[in-house]
Amino acid sequence: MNLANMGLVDLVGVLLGFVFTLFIFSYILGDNPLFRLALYIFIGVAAGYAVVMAWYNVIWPQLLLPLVTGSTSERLLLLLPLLLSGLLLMRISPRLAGWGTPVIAYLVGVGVATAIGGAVLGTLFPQVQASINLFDLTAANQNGSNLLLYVMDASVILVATITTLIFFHFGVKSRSVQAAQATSANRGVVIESLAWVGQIFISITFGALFAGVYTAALTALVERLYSSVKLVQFLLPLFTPK
Amino acid sequence: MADVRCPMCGKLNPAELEVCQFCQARLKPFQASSLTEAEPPASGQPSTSKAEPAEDVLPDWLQSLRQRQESLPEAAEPQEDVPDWLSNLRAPAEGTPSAAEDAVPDWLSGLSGDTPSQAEAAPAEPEQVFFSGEESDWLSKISPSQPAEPPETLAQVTPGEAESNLAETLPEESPIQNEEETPEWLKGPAEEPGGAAGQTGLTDWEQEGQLGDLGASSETQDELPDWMAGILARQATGPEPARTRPEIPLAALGAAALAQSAGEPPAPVQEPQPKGVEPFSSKEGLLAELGALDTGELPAWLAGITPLVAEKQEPTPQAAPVESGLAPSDELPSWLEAMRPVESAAILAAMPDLSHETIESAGPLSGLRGVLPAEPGVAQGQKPHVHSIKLQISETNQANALLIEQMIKTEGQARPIVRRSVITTQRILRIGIAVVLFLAVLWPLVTGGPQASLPGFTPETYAANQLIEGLRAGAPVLLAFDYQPGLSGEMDAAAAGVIDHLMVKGAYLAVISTASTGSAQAERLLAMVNQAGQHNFTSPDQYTDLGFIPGGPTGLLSFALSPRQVMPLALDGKSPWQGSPLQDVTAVKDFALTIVITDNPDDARAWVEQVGPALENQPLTMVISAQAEPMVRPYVESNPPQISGLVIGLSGGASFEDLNGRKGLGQTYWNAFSLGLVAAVLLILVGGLFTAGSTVWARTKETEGEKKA
Amino acid sequence: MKIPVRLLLAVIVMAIGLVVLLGFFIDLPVLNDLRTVFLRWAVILAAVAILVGLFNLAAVHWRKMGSRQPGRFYSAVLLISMFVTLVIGLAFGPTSTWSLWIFNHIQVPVETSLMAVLAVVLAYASARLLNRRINLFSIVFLATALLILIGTATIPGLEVPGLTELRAWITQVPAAGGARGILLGVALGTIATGLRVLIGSDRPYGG
Repeated sequence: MNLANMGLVDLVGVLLGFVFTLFIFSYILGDNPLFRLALYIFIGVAAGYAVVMAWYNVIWPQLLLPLVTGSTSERLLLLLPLLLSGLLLMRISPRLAGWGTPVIAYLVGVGVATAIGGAVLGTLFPQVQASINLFDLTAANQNGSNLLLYVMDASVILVATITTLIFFHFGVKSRSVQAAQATSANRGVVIESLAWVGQIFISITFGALFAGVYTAALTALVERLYSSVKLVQFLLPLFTPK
Repeated sequence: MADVRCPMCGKLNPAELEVCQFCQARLKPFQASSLTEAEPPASGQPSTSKAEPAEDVLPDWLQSLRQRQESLPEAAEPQEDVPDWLSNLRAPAEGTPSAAEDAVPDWLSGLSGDTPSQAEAAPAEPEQVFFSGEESDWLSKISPSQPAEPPETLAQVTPGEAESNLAETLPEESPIQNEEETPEWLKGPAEEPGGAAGQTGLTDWEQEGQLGDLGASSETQDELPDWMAGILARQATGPEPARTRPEIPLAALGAAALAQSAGEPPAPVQEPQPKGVEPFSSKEGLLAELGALDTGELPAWLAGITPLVAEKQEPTPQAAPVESGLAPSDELPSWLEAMRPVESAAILAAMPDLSHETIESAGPLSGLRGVLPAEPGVAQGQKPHVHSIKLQISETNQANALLIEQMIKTEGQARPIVRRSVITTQRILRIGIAVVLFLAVLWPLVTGGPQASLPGFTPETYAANQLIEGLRAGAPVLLAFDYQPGLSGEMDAAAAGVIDHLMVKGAYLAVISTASTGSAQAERLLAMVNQAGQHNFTSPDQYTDLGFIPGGPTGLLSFALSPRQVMPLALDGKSPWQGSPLQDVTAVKDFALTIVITDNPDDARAWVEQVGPALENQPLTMVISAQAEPMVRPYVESNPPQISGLVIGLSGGASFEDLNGRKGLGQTYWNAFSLGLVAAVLLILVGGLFTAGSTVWARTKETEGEKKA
Repeated sequence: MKIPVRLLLAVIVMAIGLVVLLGFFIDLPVLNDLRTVFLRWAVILAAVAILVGLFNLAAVHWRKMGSRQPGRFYSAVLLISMFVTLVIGLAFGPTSTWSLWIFNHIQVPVETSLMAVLAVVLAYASARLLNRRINLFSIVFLATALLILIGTATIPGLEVPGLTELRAWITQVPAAGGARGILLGVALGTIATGLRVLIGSDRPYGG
C-alpha cells in the first residue's frame, strides 16, 4: 500500500481504518462504547456484503437471469428451485416458517450425503492407507532418509493415531464406569492405559494448534501495527514543522 | 304404650312383645294364662298372644308340680271348676301321707303344725315345685274348707298338671278361713286391705286381698320365711315402678324355694311383711294374679322378691362386688344370704375401687359400677373439642416470613450501584503484556531493528515452489481464496510470494472462493502483489474472478462435477469459459494447478475431500495459516500425498519468498514477528512459572495448615 | 396432520441423500446427471438462505431499535451500515471501488484488529494456565506450544542448535499422529451422524 499514490478517498479510508484499529485495541483496557461501535459497524458491513455476493454470484446469474433469458428447458428446470426459493423465503415470517421446512430437509439431505461421501473417500480410506503405508521403506529410500529414524517416526505416528482413536471412546468407557458395570478389570486397565497415552498425543496436537493460533494472531498484530506505523510515518511529516 | 327395655341387651322393644326382638330374651314373666294357652313362639317372632308356653320353658317349680300331680292319685273330690293342682293338694291332706314328707323343709313344716309328719314328708324330688297333688299344710291353711296340707305336697304337683288344673284346682272358697291358720308370709297384705288395695299397680288377686289373709295373722307371720315376709311387706308398700322392678323369672323364684326346701333355713326377712295380701283364696283370684303376670306387672307376693337397687346399698371398702347382682344383704332372705359366696380378704383387697366408675342405669345390670356400656362411646353425645382459630406459627416460620417481607420491601428500593474499580490486578497484567508485545513488535518496525535470519524452507514449501515453477505461461491455475478478512494479515503475507511467483510465471489465474468475502480478498491481494511486484495483471486478460460458491462442501462438490454450470459467469458479468485459456477447461482436473489459500482446517479438508478426488492426478497445493497446519499435515504426509505442496503461515511465506529471491510481505513482517514471538514466549514462560510456583506454594501452605489443624 | 408431514420430510431427506451418496460410489450417467442437478439446486438454495439470514438479522435489530432496551443505538448503527453496504454493493457491484473501499477500510481493519487483540489475550491466558490446574496434560500442552513458538521464531544473534529440527519433528511426527487420529475420529463421527440423518433417526430439520 503506497500512501503517496493514494488519493484522498483512500487516505480517508486509511485513516478510518486506523481509527477503527484504535477502537478495537481499546478493548485491552476494557469493554467500552468505541469498541462496540466498531464491532457493530463491522457486523453490518459483513452481513450486507455477504448478501451482495450471494445476489451477484448466485441468485441473479443462476436463478433469475436464466428464467428471463434462458431456453425453455432451462426455464422449466429452474421452476422447481424458484418454488423452493420462495418456500425458503417464508422462513422469514414466524407464522409461515413451516412452509420452508421441506427445503431445509432438502438441504440437509444433500449436505449429509456430501459429508458422508467426502469423509469416506477423502479422509477415511486415504488416511487408513497412509497409516498402513507408514512402514513403506521404499519411500524412505527415495527420500534418502535414515531408515531407523524413519521406522521410529512411523512407529510414533502409528501409536499416536491408534491411541488417539482409543481415547475418543468408541464404545469404550472409562475405568470407573467399567468397574460399576462389573466388567473384567484386565481389559479395562489396558484400554485405559492406551487412552492415557492417546491423551498425551492429543495434548501435543492441541499445543501445536495453540501455537499456530497464536502465530496467526501475532502476525495480525504485526500487520496492524505495521500499517499504523506506515500511516503515522506518512502523516508525521505533514504535522511536523520543517 | 311405652316401649319396654330388654333386660339382657338393653334395647327398646314394643310393649306388646313377649320376647326381645334382638336377643330373644323374655320381656314379660310367665303367667297362668300364658301357661295354659300359650304356644311356643316362633323363632325371632314376638309372642302376640297369651300362648301357652312350652313345657320345656316352664319354670322348674311348675314342672315339678305337674310331675307330682301325675304321680299322685286323683283327688277324691273331683271338682271341675277347681284346679287340679289344688284338688291334688287337697287329696293328700285327707290322710294320704307321702313319702316325701320327710324332705319337707322346716319352714314349710312349720307352716303346718298339725301335721308335722306331713311336713316332714318332703317330696322325694326336691326339684319339684311347690304345688303337688297333695295339699300341704300351708296351702290347707289357705283354703278354709281344706285341711292343712303338708308343705311337701306343694312340690309334688307337676308344672304340667298345675298348668292344666290351675284354673280348676283353685278353691272356690277362700282357702283362708281361719286367720290363725294362715301362714305369716301369706297374711301380710290382708291386714291392710285398704292400703294394699288402694295402691295402684296391684293385680286383681292382690287387690282381692287373697294373699293378705294368708299373712295377716301374727302367728303366721312369725312362721313365714323371711323372704316371703319381705314380699308381703313390699306388697303393702305397693308394687315398685315397672322400670325399676326387674322382672324375675319364675324359675328363679322356684329355685329359691327349692333351695329352701332342700334344707336350708330361710333367711329372716328384715323388711316388714307386706300386709293385706292374701294368698290364692279363690280360683278367680289366682287366675287374676297369674293373668296379671302377662301384663308385665308382678304380683304382690312376687314383687316382694324384687331385689333392692344398688342405690339403697352403700358399698363398704371390703364389700362384696356388686356384680353379684343380688339384693343387698339387708333385704336378702337368710337362705339366700347364706348362698353368698365367701370372699377371702385377698380377693377383697384386690378388688379395684370402682367408686369412680359410672353406674349403669338400664338393663339387668342397672346399679352396677364399671360395666361396659351397652352403647358405644361414639354413640354417646359429647361436647366437641374446642380448637383455637388462631394460626399456629413456629419461630422458624416467623423468621422466614420476616425475611421474605424484607426482601419484598427492598425489591422496589433502588440500590446504589457498586462501581467496579477501573484498575484491577488482572487488567494491569493484561495491559502490561500488551505493552511488552507492542514494544517488541514496534521496535523493529520503527527502527528497522535487529535483523533476524529468515526461516528455512520445508520440503512441502519447496514442493509448492517447484510446482509453480513448472507451470507454463498461460496455464490455467485455479486459485481459491477461502480465508477470512481477520486472517488477512497472515494469509496475505503467506500467499503474496506464491501469487507473485504465479504472476512471474505468467499463469492464468481463475479466482474462486467459498467465502463471501473471497472475491474482495482476492482483488485486494492481487492488487497488492501486482503493485509490489510491478506486474501488470488485469482482468480478464490475466485473471478472472469466477465469484463465490455458497454451500460449503456441497458447493465444492457441485463445482468439482460441473464448474461451467455452477459458475457460468464471472463477476464482471462475462462468461470466462468462452475465450482462452479457460475454453478448454470443462472439469477441475483440467486446471494445471489448484492452489487453495485458506486459514480454516475444515475448509482445507473440504477441498481435499470434495475436489481432491475430482482432480485425479493433478496436484493440489495449499497456502494455509499456522493454526491449520496440524490438521492439514496428515493429508500432506499420506502416501500417496493428497496435498502436494504446502506453504504454512508467515514463516512459509517468508521462506517461499526467499526461495524465489523476491522480497514480499513475509520478509517485511519477519523481524517484527520474530521479536514479538520471542517476547510472547518469554511472557508465557515467566508468567507460567510464576503462577505455577505461587499455586504450588499456596497448596503447600494449605496442606501444612490442614496438618497442623 | 403431523405424521404425514414428518413422513414427507423424512422421505425427502432419504431420497435426495441417497441419490447424492450413491453418486460417490456408482458411476451411472443418469445418476450423475440427477446428482448434478440436485447439487446445483442446493447451491442456489444456499444463496437464498443467506438472504433469509440477513432478513432475520435485520428484523431482530429493528425490533430492538424500536423497543426501550439498552443498546438500541448500536442496533441502529448496524442497520445503517448494512443498508449502506447493500445499496453500494448492489448498485456498483461487489468488486467495485466503493465496495472494495468499504471492505478494505472497514471490514478488514476491524477483523484484523480483533485478531491482533487475540495475541494479547492468548498470552495473558496461557501465562495463567498453570494457575488453574497443574497436571501432566496441561504441562505437555504448554511445553509443546512454547517449543513450537520458539522454534518458529529466529532469535537475532542467537542460534539454538536443534531447535528448528525439534519443532519440525514435533509438528510432523507426534502432532501429526494425533491429528490423524482426530481426523479419523471426525470422519467416523460424520459417517455415523450422516447415516442417522439419512435413515430418519435424527431430524435436525425439525418435524
